[in-house]
Amino acid sequence: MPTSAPLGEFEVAVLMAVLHLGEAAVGVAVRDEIAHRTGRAVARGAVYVTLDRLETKGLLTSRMDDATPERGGHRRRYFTVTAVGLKRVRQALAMVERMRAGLEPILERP
Amino acid sequence: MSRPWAWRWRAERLGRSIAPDSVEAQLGDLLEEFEAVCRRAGRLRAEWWLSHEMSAIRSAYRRERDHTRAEASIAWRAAALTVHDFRHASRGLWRAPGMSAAAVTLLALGIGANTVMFSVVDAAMFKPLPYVQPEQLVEGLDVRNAGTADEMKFVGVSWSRLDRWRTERGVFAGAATLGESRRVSLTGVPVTTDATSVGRLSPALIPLLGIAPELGRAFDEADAAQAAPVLLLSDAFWRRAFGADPRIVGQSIGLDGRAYTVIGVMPPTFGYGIAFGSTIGWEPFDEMAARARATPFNHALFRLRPGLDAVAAERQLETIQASSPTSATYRFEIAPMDNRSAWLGSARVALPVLLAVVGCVLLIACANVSNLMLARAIARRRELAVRAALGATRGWLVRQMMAESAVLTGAGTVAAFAIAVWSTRIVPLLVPASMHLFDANAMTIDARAFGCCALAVVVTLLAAGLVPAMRASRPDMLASLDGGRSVAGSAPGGRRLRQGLQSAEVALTLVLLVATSLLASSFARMMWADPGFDMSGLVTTGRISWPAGQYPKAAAQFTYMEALLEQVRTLQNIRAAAVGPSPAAGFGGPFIPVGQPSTDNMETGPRLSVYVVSPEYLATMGIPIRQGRGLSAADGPGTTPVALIDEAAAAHYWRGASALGQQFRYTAASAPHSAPVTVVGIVGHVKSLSYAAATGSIQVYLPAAQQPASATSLVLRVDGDPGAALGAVATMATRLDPHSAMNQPSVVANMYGDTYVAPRFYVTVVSIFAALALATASVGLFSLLSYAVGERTREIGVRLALGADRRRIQFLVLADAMAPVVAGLAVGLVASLWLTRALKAVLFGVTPHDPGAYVLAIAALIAAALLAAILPARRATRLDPVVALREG
Repeated sequence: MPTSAPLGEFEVAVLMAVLHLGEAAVGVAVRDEIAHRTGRAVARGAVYVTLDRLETKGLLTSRMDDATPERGGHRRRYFTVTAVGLKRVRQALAMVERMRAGLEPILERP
Repeated sequence: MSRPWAWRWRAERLGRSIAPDSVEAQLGDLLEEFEAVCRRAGRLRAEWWLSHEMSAIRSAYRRERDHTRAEASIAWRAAALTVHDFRHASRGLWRAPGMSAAAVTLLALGIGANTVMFSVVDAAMFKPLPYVQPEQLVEGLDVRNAGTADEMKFVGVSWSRLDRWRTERGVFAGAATLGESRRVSLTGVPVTTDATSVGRLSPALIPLLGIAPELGRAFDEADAAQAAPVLLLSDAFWRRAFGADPRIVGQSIGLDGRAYTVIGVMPPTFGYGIAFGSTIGWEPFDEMAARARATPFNHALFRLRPGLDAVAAERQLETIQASSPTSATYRFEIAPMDNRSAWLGSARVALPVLLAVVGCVLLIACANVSNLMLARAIARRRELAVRAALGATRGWLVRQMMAESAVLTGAGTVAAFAIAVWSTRIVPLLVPASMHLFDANAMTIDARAFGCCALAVVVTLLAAGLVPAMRASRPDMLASLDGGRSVAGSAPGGRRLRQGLQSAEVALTLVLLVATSLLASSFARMMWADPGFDMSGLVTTGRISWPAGQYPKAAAQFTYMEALLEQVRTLQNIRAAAVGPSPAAGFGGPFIPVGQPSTDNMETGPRLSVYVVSPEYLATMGIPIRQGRGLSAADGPGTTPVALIDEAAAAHYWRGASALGQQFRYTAASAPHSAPVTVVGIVGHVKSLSYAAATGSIQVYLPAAQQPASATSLVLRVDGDPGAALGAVATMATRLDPHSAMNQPSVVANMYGDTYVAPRFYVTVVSIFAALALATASVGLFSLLSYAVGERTREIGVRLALGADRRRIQFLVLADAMAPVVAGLAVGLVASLWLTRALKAVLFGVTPHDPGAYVLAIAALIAAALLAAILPARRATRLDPVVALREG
């Protein structure tokens, strides 16, 4: 269900993490990527929920790989950002950019 | 490595609320990491870690689900009317009880009237006959091919053709016959009843219709042989005479002194095309016996083969008869059993008119409620403006207003439905039985009526609710946070809309008033019309009948009639008497002038009634002779066959030229006794009983001595009690021949009264609705004006303070009142001129464009409007300028 409601901060972070990871975007990797880049511990549940929600919104797609024995026979799920997802990320960033413009004297003060 | 413990009871639960693929990937991730944790921190820590992670994931998903639901519910609340809206609306309406009660009453009457009228019209005209697949039921007709213009149709089929066609399996699935019903006298029945005839049905008929008795059993073949006489009762008779006692089955009733065993009771829906008002029940029709008596024609019903419709069946019959002519003189045709459109007569025109009338009433009610709602919205515009300023969207305001009209309509619908259900008990009692509206189906409030009601409700909601809601929520209306204290009153747009609604009301009311005055003046003309003869004290014996074979020679029968007439003359209180039927009892036929090309046939030409009468008939009836002579005793069997015709016939067939000495035939050329008769006199026209007949009627009088077989009744002019006189005549008739019986002795004026029943009913119904409409429109106008005066209090105060003449102020208010009325009259006049054409067929002596009716209707409306305007106008002039300026 595509929706035009503005993306939340964490949603943008998840989308960008998936973009960063490219071919290797599985749930755990997304979590690690965010934790690594932000230096913030991220709840596993939050990542899974957000991934599922973004897929429902049509901003992500996922595919399952072939089963491997070391995961108890459970398949991995790989995520990709859709064209709409990419557009929404750009919009979110542009919004921040526009809001930031002119605030340099304040924001860049040490 | 063995599976972690936590797995057993957590994994399952995780799966419940999440998509399967997602669960699988998550479990895989967890297992993978579990092993890593195990290696790093030991099994126990890893188990604890896994359990914690899994429950965290679950609660994350649970939070997500709650969040989604909350959002959906917010979206839903924003889009639809909610309980809150309705509660708010109800509270608001409760605070304006007068307005709410008025609106609910109007809507209840409007919706209720439409539902009731629809179920009446539906039962009378549209609902299929209460038999199984009634569209497959047809009547068989013999049609005599006697040339082109004057073919004769008989409702019935001769035995040979019946046998030929009932086995035609390519066309018919079955057939059954009905015998002629007969009059009986009852013995052993606890309650006296005026129902005195028994119908006769072949045992195949009830299965052919696909119905069953509501009590007991139907006839079987053994009954038809009439080993022991049996009877099926009609539902009406069973209720009236036996109080619907189920123990009636198996008991016996005496008919003409013979004991009949009651084997069952037919349902109330059994009757259309089979029973008439006076039927107490049915006995089996013995076809074999009827054949032996050589009854020429039989009333026969056929059921078409499944899958064949009437048109296709007709085509097949034509093909079969064209390829192998079964008879040179007769053709076999079928006609649908459901011939209600012909049977209903004027009701076919009048019922849709009544439906339109109640539709008008609903629209008027809607316009009025709409106006009330608008007035309410205008009065509330400060509140609405505050709400808008506080962030209520326009959608919210519209919804709020719609919720109010929905509450009003809902209450109105409940009341309307109660009215409708109640009416199913009352209306059948109010509708005269002689209108035959509920012959085929009883009036019920069923799914169809409910559908009509729902439609009326939707119309109401849109008409009465949407317009004011849209209007009141317009930003320009809401811009008046200052409380609308402008000098000139409310926004001109709002006033124009209200005046427009008022005009619509006036226009619709005018249409109803015009229709009412047309129908009323038509009815009055009918009541006061000179029927062409003197009705006072006139009675008829009806057809006098004897057992078959009593008088094989017509001459002997006529001798009896003459002897009876002779004796009746000696009775006291009998002023005049003659052999001849009542005006309603003439027989029909074609009128074929000799030596003229036949221009019209029985269907298109004037309706002919033939009366076989003795010479004294014209004097007894008071019918004047215009030209030539009357009938005389000299017109006997040996002399030239002669006839009298009425002025209408003379004018229609011999336009201008004298009809005296001309000849005509009144039967088809091929029929026996088709010798032409000579016109010897022209007499006054007698008004046809059918006021609605478009083609008019003509009359022919033949001397009884030359047509003795048809001379079977007497007319008498009596002083005093007509019942006593008829009783004396009956005694005399049986003294002369104990086997003779009078069939329908009646007072002629009462027979005419019956034909007024339907028009009187229409006039009454339309008058009630027109009065309702007029009252509604006046009240609407009154409220509009009172409101307008209230709105303009300040303006009027200013004018008065500046020295305006009070009469001018009064004129100002009246002009305000009359503007929408005049506009409505103009529109209503055009609409009436156009719409009342539909009434043409039910009007007698009045054209749909009768100026008198229009003047009357317009005058009534203007009077009502002035009446409604007086009070507000007077209030306006009594204003104290100081008070007005301070308060306004």
